[in-house]
Amino acid sequence: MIRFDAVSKTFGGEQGHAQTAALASLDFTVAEHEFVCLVGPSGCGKTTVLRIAAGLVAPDAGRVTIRGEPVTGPGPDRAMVFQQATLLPWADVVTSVAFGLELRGVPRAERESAARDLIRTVGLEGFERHYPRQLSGGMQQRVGLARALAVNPDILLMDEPFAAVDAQTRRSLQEELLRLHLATEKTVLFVTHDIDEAVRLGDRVLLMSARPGRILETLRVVLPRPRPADLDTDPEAARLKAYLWRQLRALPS
Amino acid sequence: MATVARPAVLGPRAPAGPATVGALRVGPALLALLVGAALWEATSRFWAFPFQPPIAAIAHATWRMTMSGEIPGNLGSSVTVLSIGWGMATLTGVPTGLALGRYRLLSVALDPYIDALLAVPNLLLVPVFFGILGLGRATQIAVVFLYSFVVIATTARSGLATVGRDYVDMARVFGASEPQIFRQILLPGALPAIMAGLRLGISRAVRALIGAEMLLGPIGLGALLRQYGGRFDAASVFGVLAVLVALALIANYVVLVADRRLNHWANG
Repeated sequence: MIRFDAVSKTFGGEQGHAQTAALASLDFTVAEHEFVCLVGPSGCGKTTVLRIAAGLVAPDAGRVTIRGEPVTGPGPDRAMVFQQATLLPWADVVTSVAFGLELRGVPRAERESAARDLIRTVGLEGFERHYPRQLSGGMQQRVGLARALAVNPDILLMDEPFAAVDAQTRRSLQEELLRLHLATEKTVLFVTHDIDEAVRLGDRVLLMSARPGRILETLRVVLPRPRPADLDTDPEAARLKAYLWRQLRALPS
Repeated sequence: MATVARPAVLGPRAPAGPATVGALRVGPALLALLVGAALWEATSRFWAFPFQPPIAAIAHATWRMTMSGEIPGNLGSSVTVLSIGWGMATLTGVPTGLALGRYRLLSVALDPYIDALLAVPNLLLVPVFFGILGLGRATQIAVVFLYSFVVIATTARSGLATVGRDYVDMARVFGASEPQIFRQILLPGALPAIMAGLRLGISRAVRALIGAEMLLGPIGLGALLRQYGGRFDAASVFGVLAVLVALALIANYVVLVADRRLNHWANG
């Protein structure tokens, strides 16, 4: 469904700034309804991959297609959840979740009722009229997730969405995301630096090299869905994580 | 707490609604004013210095000027000039500042003019407009307008620059067009700075107003100030001054209240 073909991207180079090669001939695909996690050392260009998929950044070379159509910009088939929730500080939860629908000209009553349903889905009932500064980091990410789901995209692009929340909250957000993925069958491209998270969530894990980033290895996560509750003690999960750790540690960062 | 049923990950319930907005602490300020008045009164009686009249004399002079119609008439003129000048500066300064923030080339091109206008003292504008518009309200309004316009425009411009790129990217991902990005992201994000600019603008407007009225009159509180100053009537001078300060404070307060209403999210 998503296809990266020999994608390269270099930043800088103008006005005397040094050039940074972010991605070098990167290839991968994500199948329909698949949940793919992208892991790699920090600064390897994971976020750049997402931004290219989102249509925020154009690659210097190579081809990015979605269902065979080249990506030329953002589109209604994709929505993104950001590392910092980037909730508009002047918008309450309902307005935030309805943001994408508002941009599409959906009438207020309709978009707010859709937003309220999603707010319930992500467990934020009762916080409809709260502002971002009144919400914890985990709650803000729930709003960010609901905002992305509100436009009913086929593809969810997620950029380390749970990196900035505490471990307990992260676990609960992960479980919620797994539940939502199972229920909605969205295609997910999920960037993380957390190996445990990648194995817990993904159907496949793509391991990226240090900068300039390319895909070193693809691992299939052979675990049933819904994921077993005792994943922490699962031998297959443990084996995968140990292997990924070894590979990552061998990389310069 | 009654939040037992609430999942732990949600954390404690945040306070409902925007945080308390008003509640200006008047107590300490009032006390300081009283102490200041007492000091003034004591030193004025002790020195018997003619240019520091006792408060009773100032109050009496203010009362006399109010009854004679001098204060109401000139205050009316000053308020009119201030409202029109600052109002026009707001109506044109905000869009100009936003345009400057949006189109970098325009901003770069106009920078010398803006810097010059920011640097020039208000009194220098008076003879310029006097030459064009003559003696009267039009000159006063023009000085007030231009002197506050430039600060309103430049603050609005820098307000746009403070809006995070992340928000713009976010809006773009959700399919926002350029006009939508401007209306939904840049404008609300710049609003606190715009309102701060309006407050800076009003304090500059008052300064320009007094300058213009004092320098060429013919009417307004500044003209009244000059008139009594020429007669060495200190009590009346301070009386007019008190009215002027009150006018400036009230004008500032009105904008402040509007700011807190509009931007409660930024002031919490």
